[in-house]
Parts: sequence; structure tokens; C-alpha cells
Amino acid sequence: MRGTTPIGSGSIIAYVIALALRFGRGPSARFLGRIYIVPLFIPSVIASYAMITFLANHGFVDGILQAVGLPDGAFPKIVFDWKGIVITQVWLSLPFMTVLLSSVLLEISDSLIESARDVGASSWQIFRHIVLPLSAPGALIGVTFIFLGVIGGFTVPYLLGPNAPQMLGVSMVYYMTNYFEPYIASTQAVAIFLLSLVAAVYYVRQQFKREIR
Amino acid sequence: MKRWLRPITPIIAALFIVTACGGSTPNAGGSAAPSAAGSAATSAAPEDKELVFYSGGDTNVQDLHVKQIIPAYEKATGIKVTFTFLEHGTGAQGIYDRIKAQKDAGKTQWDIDLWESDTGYYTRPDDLFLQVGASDIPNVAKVPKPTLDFVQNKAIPYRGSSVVLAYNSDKVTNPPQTYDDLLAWIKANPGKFAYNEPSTGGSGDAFVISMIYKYSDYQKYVTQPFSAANEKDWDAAFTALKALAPSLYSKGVYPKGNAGTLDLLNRGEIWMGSVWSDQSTQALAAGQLPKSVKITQINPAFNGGAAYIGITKNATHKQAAMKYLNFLLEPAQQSLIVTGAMSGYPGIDWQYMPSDARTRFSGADKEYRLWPGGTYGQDMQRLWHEKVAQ
Repeated sequence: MRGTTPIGSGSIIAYVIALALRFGRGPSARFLGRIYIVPLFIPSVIASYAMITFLANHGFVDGILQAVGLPDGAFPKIVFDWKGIVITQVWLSLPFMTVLLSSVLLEISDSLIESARDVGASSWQIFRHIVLPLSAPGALIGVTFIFLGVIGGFTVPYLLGPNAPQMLGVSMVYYMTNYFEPYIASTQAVAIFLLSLVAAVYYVRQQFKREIR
Repeated sequence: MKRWLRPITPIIAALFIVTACGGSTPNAGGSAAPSAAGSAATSAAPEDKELVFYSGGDTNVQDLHVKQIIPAYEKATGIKVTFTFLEHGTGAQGIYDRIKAQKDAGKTQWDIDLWESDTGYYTRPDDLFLQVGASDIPNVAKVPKPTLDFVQNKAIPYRGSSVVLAYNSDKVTNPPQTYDDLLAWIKANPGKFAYNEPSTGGSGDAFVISMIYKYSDYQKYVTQPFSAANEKDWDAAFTALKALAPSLYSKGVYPKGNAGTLDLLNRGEIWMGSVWSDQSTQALAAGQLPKSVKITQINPAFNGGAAYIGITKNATHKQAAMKYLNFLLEPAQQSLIVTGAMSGYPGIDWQYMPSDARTRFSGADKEYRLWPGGTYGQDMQRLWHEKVAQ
């Protein structure tokens, strides 16, 4: 499912960044901590147009690659393709997911990790048996948020996506404003809502569990 | 969040009530003003001292009227123009309702003389606009007849634009002259032509419409009212468009928006594309397109459209309104539209235009074809997505 690619890859990258921010020491982690937030301040319209100029064929990246010897035409089609949507959505949702995961990881106390290390646990074992289980519920809540943002998205798929197949949000707007078929648009709205409902139910259940605890 | 919202809520509610009342009782608003001046002017006194002009559109339309045409007109005639501008046609329906309310109330002196808005309003069955001809406005004789027939002479086209063919003259020495030439060129140069997705901009629609006109009869669309039966002809056109896809940019990628095609031309991704005359001319003037890009028009032309101004049927200042339109159609004023920031086509025929205005669109200064839009337009865009997009 291509639709899950931005959510999956976005979450994994964000998780890695958050881990680096939480446990990393040294200049590269500090540098990452300063710049990861940047996409949050760039509206999606501007980001989409920027990605077009950046990743288009004969665009910025292609130009640089051709200057160092990539043959003309060898650059893959990213813009006007689902790959363009994925890259831009990942880039846009990264800061939010990272902030969320960082706070989840901060809740894991240092003493827990230090005591594990005292009894001889390796870094992998600490991650596998302590960090991952403790952060998983919070991370999944983050995934639901990104899911909601991506599924209802219009700007990014409209500007960067293929002509067909369209994402639901784009198709819905077309049926509503261009073809004047409000009933089909309404049906699509219901479909988006039902899909969002799955994420919403999961989120509410998680919150409910937390309060009981 | 909630706390600061609370004091504002009653204000918002009040605003809602005010606007709702304003909308529901348009008679009350329109009736107060003109009754006093009314009786004097009815006796066909030609000495109008003022003119009430409502308009809408982009700010370049506002600039054209406010900074150029109106001052010159006031100076030439001594008539005072009251100009009301609503950006991007917001409130157009409200203005229409206001005129209609005056008609329904039996008023003989309506308080709006001139109205510039979307073409569809002038020919609505409410019959609110005056049919004018060359006997009322001498310069109307210079206006191409089809653009007047299109609105049954109930409004005057004073500027226009059309879709044209833009090409990279470094790569293309002999641009196609007809639509069939163009199709042959596309097949001979795969990947070097693009038209944008029709739902995202009119220059893409134009390419599709030309295909429809190739397989259907143009006259059916400009002289007859809407008929769903005409859409039966479209299957052949969509089949041809679908078959063309492998020869298009990236084997059938349709850029988004009118600007999408210009962007591909600018980056050298394509050598030819369908673009708007005014947008491409402005982009060339601003250096946003390389100088090697040239524009031309095929024959028969891509479709285009005109912007119209109508005189309301019982306008209080009919003579002043006619004078304004006549003034606007003078070649001197028309040249401002062509050579100025607007980069528009003239409302009058090109043959009446001075040569410097004609060179601005050299190669493209031909008449354009019309497209009725409306339901045809909605169906065309939907069917294109269903049958052509991959």
C-alpha cells in the first residue's frame, strides 16, 4: 500500500531522530536538535512548490547530479508521481512526530536504563526490552495523528501527485468544485471520515487506558 | 483559547444577523436613493452628469479603470464616475440580486448603470441588460460579431485573452499551423509537448476542447443552447486524447495549473505547450520565460474569451454609460489594454489597432474560438479524468 508509505517511513525516520535527541551526546545530535523543527514553520503550499523546483526533472537536484556526470534523463520521475507525495509528506510531518516521540522518550527515566546497564544489558537489549515497549503506545498515537493529516491532505497531493490515481482529498475537491457532483463528493467525504474514525477510535482507547492506569 | 473567544461570539452572531437581513430584503436598500432624481431624467435628457459603474475582477482590472480609463473619460466628458470594485467577483450574485430587485419592484430608474462581471449573468432569463448595437455605441461596429452574438448584444466585450501555442524557437523552427499539424508534431516529437490537467487551468482545457471541436461541430456549441446529446460526439475525442498520451511529456503527465506548463517550458522539459496569451506575454516581459520561447496561434484557433461590460436595462444614466463603452472601445484606450500590464486582446477587431499594439502578440493576433463552458465544461473535465488520465 503506497498510502501507508509516508506514514510508515515518516514515523521511522522521526523515531530515529527522537532516539538520537534523547540518548545522543555530541555535536551531531545537538545540530539535529536545532534543525529538525524547520519544516514545521514552512506552510505546505510553499513546501510543495519548493519540492517541485528541488526534485523535478531538470530541477535543482537533477541539475547537480547531471553536473557530476548523471546522464540526462536518468533522474527518476519524482514530481507528478506518488514518490513526490511521500517525500513531501514525510518532510512536512517529521518535526511534529519528532516532538511527540521526544516527549514520549523523555518519560523513560534514566535510572531504568542505567540499572539495566549495571546488570550488563547491551544497548540493543536496552532498546529492545525497555525503550521500545515503553515508547510504543505513544509512538502509535503519533502515527494516528500523521495518518489523519495525510489522509485528508489536499495541497501536497494536488500539487505534487499524479493525474491519476488521485488521493481522496483531491478527488473530492474536483467532484465538488469542478464537476458539480456534490453527492459523489459527499460520499468521498464519508469515506475519508470513516477511515479517520478508525484512527480516532484507536486514539481515544489509548487515552482511556492511560487514565485508568 | 476559549476565554478570549467568548466576548467575540456575540459580535459574530450580530454580524451574521446583519448580513442575513441585508440579503433577505434587497428592496429596502435599493428603493431609497434614486426616486428624487428620477422624474427629471426620464424625459430623455442626454445631459448625464454622473455614471455609476460596478466592477469586479483582479487588481489589474481595477488599475485599468481607476488609473487609466476613468480619469481620461472624466476629463473628456465632464461626467463624474462613481466606481465600485469588488475583487475576484465576490458579491457578484448580490449585485445581480440588487439589480433584479429593482426590476421586480417596478423601478424605472435603476441605481447601477454599468456592470462588469462573469459573462453568464448578462444572458440570464431575468432580462436585466440592455441590448445595444452600433446605433447606440458607434464603436460597437468594430467589435467582431461572434463575441456580441455570444451574449445577444446585452453586453460589450472590451478586452479578451485566448489560449495560444508557446514553443521553444531554439528547438522548433516551423511551429504547427493547424491542430492536425500540432497532433502530428506531438507524435513526431514524443515527450516534448504538455497540456495541463483540464480541471486545474483553462489552457489545458483548450487543448481538449480543440480535440472536441475536431470530432464535433463547433457551431453546435456557440449558436445553440446546452444539449446533452452533443456530448455523444466526445467519445472519439477522448479516445484520440488517450491514444496521444504516450507521446506527451513523461508519457502522459499533465502538469498542474496554467503555470505548470509555463514552468516546464522554462526548464526546457518541453518544447511546446498550450498557454494563455496574457500569462505567457507577461511572463516573457518579466523574464520568467527565456527569450527563445515564442507564441503563435493555430488555425482554427484555440478557444478564448472576452470580458464584458453590460448596461442595465433601466439605467439612470444610460447616455453616460453608452459614452463610457464607446470611449473604452476607441483604439487609444484599447491600446492601453494590449500594451499595458494587462497584456489583453482588444475588444475591437485587430485591424483597427495601431501597429505597435499588434506586434505585441505577433503571430497570435487572430480571432479565437469560443467555448460555452457551464455544464459542458464540468462534464468535459470529469470525462477527461475518467477516460484520459491514467
